[in-house]
Amino acid sequence: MLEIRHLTKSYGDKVAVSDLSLSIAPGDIYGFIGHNGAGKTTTIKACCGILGFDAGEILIGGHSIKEEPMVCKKMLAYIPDEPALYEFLTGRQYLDFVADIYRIPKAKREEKIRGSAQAFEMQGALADTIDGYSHGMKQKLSIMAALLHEPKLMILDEPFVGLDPKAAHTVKQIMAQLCAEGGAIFFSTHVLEVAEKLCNKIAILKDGKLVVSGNTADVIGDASLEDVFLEEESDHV
Amino acid sequence: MFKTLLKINLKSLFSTMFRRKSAKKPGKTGGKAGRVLLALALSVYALGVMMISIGGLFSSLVMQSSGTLTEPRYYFSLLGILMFCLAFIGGVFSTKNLLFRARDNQLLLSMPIPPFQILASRVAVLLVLETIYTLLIALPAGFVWFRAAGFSLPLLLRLLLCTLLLLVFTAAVTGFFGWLLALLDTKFAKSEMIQSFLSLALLVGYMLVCFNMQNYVATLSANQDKISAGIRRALPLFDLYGQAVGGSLTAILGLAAAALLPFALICLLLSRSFLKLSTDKKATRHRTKLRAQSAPRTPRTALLVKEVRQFFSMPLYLLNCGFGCMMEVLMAVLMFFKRETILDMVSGIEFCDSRAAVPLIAIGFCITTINTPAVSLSLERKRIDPLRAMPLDAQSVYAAKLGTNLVIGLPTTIIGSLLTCVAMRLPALQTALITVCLCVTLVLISSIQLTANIMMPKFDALSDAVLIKQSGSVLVSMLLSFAVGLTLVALAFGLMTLLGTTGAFAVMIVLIGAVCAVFRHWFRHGAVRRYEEMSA
Repeated sequence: MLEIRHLTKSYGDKVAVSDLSLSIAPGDIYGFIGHNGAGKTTTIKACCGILGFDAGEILIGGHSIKEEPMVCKKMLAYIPDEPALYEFLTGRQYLDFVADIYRIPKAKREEKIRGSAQAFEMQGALADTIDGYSHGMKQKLSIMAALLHEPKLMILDEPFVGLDPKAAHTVKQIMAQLCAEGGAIFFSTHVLEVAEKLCNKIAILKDGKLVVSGNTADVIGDASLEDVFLEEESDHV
Repeated sequence: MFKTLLKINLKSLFSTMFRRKSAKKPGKTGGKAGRVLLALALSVYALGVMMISIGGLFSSLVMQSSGTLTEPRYYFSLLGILMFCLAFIGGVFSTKNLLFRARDNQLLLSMPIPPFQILASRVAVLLVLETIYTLLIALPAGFVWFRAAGFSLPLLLRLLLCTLLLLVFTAAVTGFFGWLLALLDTKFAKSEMIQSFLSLALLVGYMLVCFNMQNYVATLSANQDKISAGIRRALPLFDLYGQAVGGSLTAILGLAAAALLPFALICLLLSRSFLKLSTDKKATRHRTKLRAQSAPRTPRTALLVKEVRQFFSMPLYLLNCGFGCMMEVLMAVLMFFKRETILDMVSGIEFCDSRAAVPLIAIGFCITTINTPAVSLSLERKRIDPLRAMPLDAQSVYAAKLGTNLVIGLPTTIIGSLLTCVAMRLPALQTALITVCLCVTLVLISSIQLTANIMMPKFDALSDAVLIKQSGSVLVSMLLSFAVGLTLVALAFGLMTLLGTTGAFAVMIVLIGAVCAVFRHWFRHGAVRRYEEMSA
C-alpha cells in the first residue's frame, strides 16, 4: 500500500531523512518511532505529498506521489500532530467542506457523519463553531474528517495526543477495522505501549536513518518495545 | 526578562513584513540584497507618498488667509487631533489581539514570567506601533512648521516631549478599547458582529472626512478663531497639547498629568484582567439546529465558499481587505450629489473626454484597496499542510483565493461603475466598455495581489491582525496595485487622446485581458511549483 524506497530529504546542509526504505502492506498497522527531530514528521509529510524530497521514491497503491499526486492523495488521509482546522466553520460545515473536496455523495456523507459523530460522541458539538472546541474535540473532528472518504491508507502524526481514553479507544478500533478491510495505517507515536500493542510492524528512526524495522514480535523479541527503543538509541550514539 | 519579551514581540511584529527565511535553501547573497533594496525602495515610496500628502495638508494650514503665520496653539492642537485619530483608528482593532489573543499566550503564561511583564512588553509594542502612526503625521507637520516659522530647538524639544505624552494618552485609550473588545469576546458569541459594526462606523467616519477634506481644510484655515475656541471647549486635551508645544509650562504639566494618569489607570485595569481575558475561552454560538449542506459542491466551489465564509467571519479582514467595496458604492453615490464639483475638478483635462476619466480614476482607485488575495494564502497558516495533503491542485486553491476577491469585488465594481457612468451621463456603449474595463482591472489587481502572497507567504505570524495589516505581501501588493492603477490611468489618457473614448477602452480591455492571461499562465505553471514548496 505504501512503499518508501531510499527516501532522502535534506534541509540545506542538514540531512533530515537518509536512504529510508519501508514497505507497508494492506492490513498493516505500522508504528513509526523515533526521538524528536529523528525525521518522522518529514517522512510523513513526504508520504502525503506535502514535502518534496531529494532522492528516492514513494509509492501509494503502486502510484508515485511525485508523478501522480492526485491519485495518491485520493487514497490517503493525513492527520497532522496538531489539529489544523478552519475555526470559523462549524464542525458540520468543516465535514461538508472535506466531503466536497473528496466528492462524497450526499447520502454517503450523511451516513458517515452520523456514524462517526456517534462513535466520537460529537453529535451535540457539530453545530458549534470550531473555535470553541477543546483540543481533544478538534482532534476527534480531524479524525472524523479523515475517515469520510474511506481512505485506503491513513497517515497519522501522533494521533493519540489530546484524546480522552474513550476517544483513543475508538481510534484504535477504527484503525483495526480499516486494516481488517484491507486498508493500512502508518503513524508516528511516542507512546511506546500503544505502538507495542497496536502495531503489527514497527520501524525505529534515529537521526534520519532507519535503525530497525520489521514485525513487532521480531523486533522486540522477549523484551519490551521501550527496552528495544532505548537500546537502539544508545547503540547509535 | 522584559527586554527579552519585548525583543521577541518586536521581532514578530517586523518579521511579518518579510518572507520567512527558508531552512530548505541557503539564501543567495544577491537575492537577499535585492529583497532589502526592494523593501527599502517600497518603504521610501510609501512613506514618501503619505508624508507628501500630509505635508500638503499642513501647508494649507500653516498660513492664515491674511498671509500671517497660524497661531502655534491652533496649529499644534490640530496636529494633536490628527495624530490621535490616526493612531487610534490604526491600532484599536489590533490592540485586542496584540494584548490578549497572541498565540504564544499559553506558552509564556506557563513559564515563570510574571504576567505583568508579558503585558508590559505588549503595551510597549503597542506604543511602538502608535509611534509609527504618529510619526507619519508629526514628521511632515513639524517640517512644514519649521520651514514656515524657522527652526527653533526649544520648540522641537517641546514638540517631542508633548508628542510622547500624547502617545501615552492614545495608548491608554486604545488599550481601553482593546480591553473592552476582549471582554465582549468572552461575554457575547456575536461580539464579532459588534466589532464589524464598529469597524464599519469608523470606516464611514474616515471616508466622510476624506471626501470632505478640502472643505475641512478651507474651513480650518478660514475660521481659526471659532475652531480654536471649539477645541478649547470640546477637546481640552488637544488644546493643552497645542499650548504645551507653544511653550506654556503649566500646559506641559497639565498634559503630563492628563496623559499619565489615564495610562496608569489603564495599565492597572489591564494587569488585573490580563490573566482572565487572555485565557478565557471565546464565547461560542451554540446553535440549536444542526444544518446539513443542502447539496454537495464541487471542490472549487467548496474552497470558494470556505474563503468567503472566512472573509465575513473576521471583522479585521473584512475592514482591511474589503474597504474598497464600500468605497466604490459611496463614490458612485457621491458622483450624483457632487457631479458639478467633480466635473470642475477634472475640467483641466482637455486632451480627452474628462467625464470618461472619472469612473476610471474613482472606481479604479477603490479596486486597488480590495485585496483579499494579498493575505488569504498566509491565512491558511498550519492548515496549509492538511490542505496540501488533499487531492486539490494548486490552480483550484489559487482560483478560490482569486475568486473570493471577485465575488466580493465584482458586484460593487459593476454597481459603482454603472452609477458613476450614469452620473457622468456617458453613452451606453462607453458605459458598457468602461464597466468591462474596470472588471478586468479587478481581475488584474487580484492576480497581482495573489502573486505577491505566493511569493511571500507567511504561515507562522503570531496573530492574524499583524498578518492582515502589515505582512510583507500586503504592503508590497498595496504599493504595486497603486502603481499599476496609476499606469493604467496614464495609459487610458494616452489612448483616449489617440483613439477616442470608445476605442481607448476597447483597447484597454484587450491589453488588460492579455496581461491577465499571462498571470493565468503563471498560476498554472510557475506558481504551481511555489505551491508544491509551501509547508507550515
